[in-house]
Amino acid sequence: MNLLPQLSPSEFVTLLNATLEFAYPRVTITGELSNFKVSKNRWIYFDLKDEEASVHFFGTAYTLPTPLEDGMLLRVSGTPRLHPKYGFSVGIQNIELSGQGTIKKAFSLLKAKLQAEGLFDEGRKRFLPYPPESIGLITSSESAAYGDFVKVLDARYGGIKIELADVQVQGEPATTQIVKAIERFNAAGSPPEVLVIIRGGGSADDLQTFSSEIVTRAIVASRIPTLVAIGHEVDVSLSELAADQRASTPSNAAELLVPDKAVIVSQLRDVKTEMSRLVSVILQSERDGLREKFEELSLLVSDQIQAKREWLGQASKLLELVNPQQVLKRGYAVVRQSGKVLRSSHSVKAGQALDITLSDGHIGARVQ
Amino acid sequence: MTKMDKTYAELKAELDELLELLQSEDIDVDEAVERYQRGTELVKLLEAKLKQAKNKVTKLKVNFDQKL
Repeated sequence: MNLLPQLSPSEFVTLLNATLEFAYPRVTITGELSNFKVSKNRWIYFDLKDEEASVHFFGTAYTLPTPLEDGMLLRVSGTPRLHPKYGFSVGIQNIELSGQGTIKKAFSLLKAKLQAEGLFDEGRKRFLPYPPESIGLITSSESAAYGDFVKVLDARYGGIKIELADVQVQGEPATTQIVKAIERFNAAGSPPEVLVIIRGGGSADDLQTFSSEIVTRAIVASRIPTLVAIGHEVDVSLSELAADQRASTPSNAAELLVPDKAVIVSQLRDVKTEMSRLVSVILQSERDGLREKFEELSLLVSDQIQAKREWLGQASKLLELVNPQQVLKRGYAVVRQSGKVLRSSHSVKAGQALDITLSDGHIGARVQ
Repeated sequence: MTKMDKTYAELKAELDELLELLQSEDIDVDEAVERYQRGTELVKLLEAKLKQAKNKVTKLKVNFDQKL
C-alpha cells in the first residue's frame, strides 16, 4: 500500500508553498548574477549561481539598487515559492551588491548613467544658508559621526534648531529610511533650511546605500539644499556628487555649515577698533578744520595790519613831502610882517620890519 | 524659535549701517560720538548673544522603518 499522501499538482503546490512559508518565509542567497533580464521596465528576472547550482529569482524593477550586469556578486533576499505554472523562483524583496568587484562595477555603471542625466552638474548646485537657522539632520544617533558633528557645531556656533531623523546608515533598511527622511523633511510645514546627511567611514559594502540610485535621486529631488558627508573614503559616493555641498567628514560638515563664533567675536572687536579710529579721524578733522579757520583768520588779520602799515607808510611819505621844514630846506623862506605871513610883495611898505624864517633860523630884515 | 534669530540679525544690520555712516564723511562730531557709543553697545550685545546661544536637537518622532 502506498503510505505517501496522494496529491494533485495544485494540492502539491499549495502544500509545498505552505511548508516553505513556514520553514523559510525569507531567505538570503549570495551568488553570481546571470541571465539578468528586465521586462517592460517593470519586471526583473535573473539567476544567482555558484559552481554547482543556480536559483531563479523574480521581482519588480523597483528593487534594483543600481543597474546590474551579469557576473556581479549579489546578496538577494526574498521569499521562495513554487509557482503553479512557472516553476520555482524566489520572489525578490531586497537586492544588495556583494564584494568589491561587483560594487565597483555597479558604481561606475550608475555613475555614468546619472552623470549623463546631468544630476552631478555644478550648475545645479545651490548655496547653503550661512549660517542656517534650522537643520534637518539625517544620521544614526548612535554613530560617532552624529556625536562629532554636534560637538563641532556646538563649539562653533549656537542658536540653531536641529531636527534629527534617526535612521540606519547601512544595511538593508538604510536606503528606505534615508529616502523617507529626506521626503519627510521636504514635506514639512516649515522645512529646515538645510539637510545634513552624515555617516562615518566603512567598507564599500557598508557605504552602498549612499551610492544607490534611489538615495542619490532623492537627494537630487530635495527642494531643501543638501550637505552630505560620508567619512573618509577613497571613492566619493554618488550621494556626495549629487549633493549641493560635500564635506569630507562629519566634523568638516559642521565647519562648512557655520562660522566659528570665536572668529566673529574677533571681527566684532575689529569693528569696535575701526569705529574708534573713525571717530578719532572725525574729531581730528574737526580740529584741523578749526585750526585752518584760525589760521585763515590770523592771515586775514595780518593782511589787514600789513595793508594798514603800508597805507601809513605811504601817508607818512606824502606828509613828509608837504612838511614845511622840507620846503624850507629846499631854499624857500617864510616871511612874516608883524607876525603875519607875507604872501604878496605888495603887502609891505618900505621901512617895515620883516622876520624871515629859513630852515635853520630867523633873519631880521627891513623892506627897502 | 532660536535665540540667535531676528534680534541678532537686526542688531548686526544696525551695526553695519552705523559703520557705513561713520565711514562717510557726512557726519558731525556730536552725532559721531553718539553713534560710536551705540556701536560699542551693539558689539557688546552681539558678543553676549553669540556666547549664550545654544543649539537644540529634537529627535523626530517618526518611524522610518516602513516600506516605501
